[in-house]
Amino acid sequence: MDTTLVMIVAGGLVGVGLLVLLITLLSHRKHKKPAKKAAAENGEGTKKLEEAYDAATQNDPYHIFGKEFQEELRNKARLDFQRVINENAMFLQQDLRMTTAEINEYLKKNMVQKLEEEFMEYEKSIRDVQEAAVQSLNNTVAAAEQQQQALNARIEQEMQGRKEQLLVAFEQNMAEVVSSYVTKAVGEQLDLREQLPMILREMESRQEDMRKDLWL
Amino acid sequence: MSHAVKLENENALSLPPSLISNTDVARLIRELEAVDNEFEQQAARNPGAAPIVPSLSRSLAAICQDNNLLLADSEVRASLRQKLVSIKDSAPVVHITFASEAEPEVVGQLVSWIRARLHPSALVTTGQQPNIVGGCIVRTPDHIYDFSLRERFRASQGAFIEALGVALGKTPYIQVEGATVPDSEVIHGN
Repeated sequence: MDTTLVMIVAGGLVGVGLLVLLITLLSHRKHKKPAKKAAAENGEGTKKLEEAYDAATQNDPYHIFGKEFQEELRNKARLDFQRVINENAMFLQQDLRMTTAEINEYLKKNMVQKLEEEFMEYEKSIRDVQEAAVQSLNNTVAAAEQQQQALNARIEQEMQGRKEQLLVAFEQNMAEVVSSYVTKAVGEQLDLREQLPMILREMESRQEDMRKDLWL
Repeated sequence: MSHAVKLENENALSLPPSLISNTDVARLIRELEAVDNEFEQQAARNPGAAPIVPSLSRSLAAICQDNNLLLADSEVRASLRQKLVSIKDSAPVVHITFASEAEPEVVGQLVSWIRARLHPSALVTTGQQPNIVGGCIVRTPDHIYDFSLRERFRASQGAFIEALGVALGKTPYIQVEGATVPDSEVIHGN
């Protein structure tokens, strides 16, 4: 019920609207021809006026305004220009700050990355060099230890040989050493007369051999 | 008391201890020749007179006394000379080396012993070698007999080493590997 009522009201309203629109169009068509004609008449005048205006403005652009109005326009223009400049400067500054920040961020990011990469390379190089140095040092230490062991063995062997030589020489020359010592110590005091009984005993022990030698 | 050696052979001479070396025999031969000349001169100067025996050296006097020789007899002199020359040329020589200069008395005793025990005509020469320390070294024509103290030291080397080990209280060279020390000479410390 309500729907039907609403649809009737809406249809009425649409009809009223269409009617108003039709009337408007008709009235507009009725006033259109004189307007064109007036416009054509006014067009020539306007054209002339424009030409005159152009000629006048070419010689003195501000002659159509009063001085106060010109000054006001100038002030207004100056203020507008200043405002635009300020706005642009502000925008430019803002953009510049943003760009700077972005550039800083970019540079920071890139530089940090590059630095990290360089540091990693550097650390790797340092590590390699360190490992090489440690390896070389270990090799050197091993070679030194090996040489030391060989040298120790050789020295030990030579010492052993020398010791043996000295001992053998000592054993072989012990009688000479003792003889020399006794000669230096008591050589002058050894009385041959006191040795005579010993000599005779020794000779008696070899008497037969000596006798054979002399009777050959 | 004479140390002259009695000869087994009657024709041999008994040599006095003072007659030691070839040099002494040669000197004695020259002296005997001089005595012979003296007797010939006496005979030429005083024919038929009893010859006067000239003064003789101790060695010649000793050899005449020990062998009962009368030098007035020319045949005795000739025989003695012949025997002395024979001794000088062919008697065995024994060389004895001492550590120091030997006294004549010691050499005389050794010469007497050699002539009594080894050979009656043996001659002895002496030498000196200080490094033998003591004793002597006897060199016969064929062998050398070392009776020196140096040889005794050498023979007693093991005793030296043992004494050295005892003195040091340890065995200084027994630890040497491959040492050429006989086991008998190895010293074992306490």
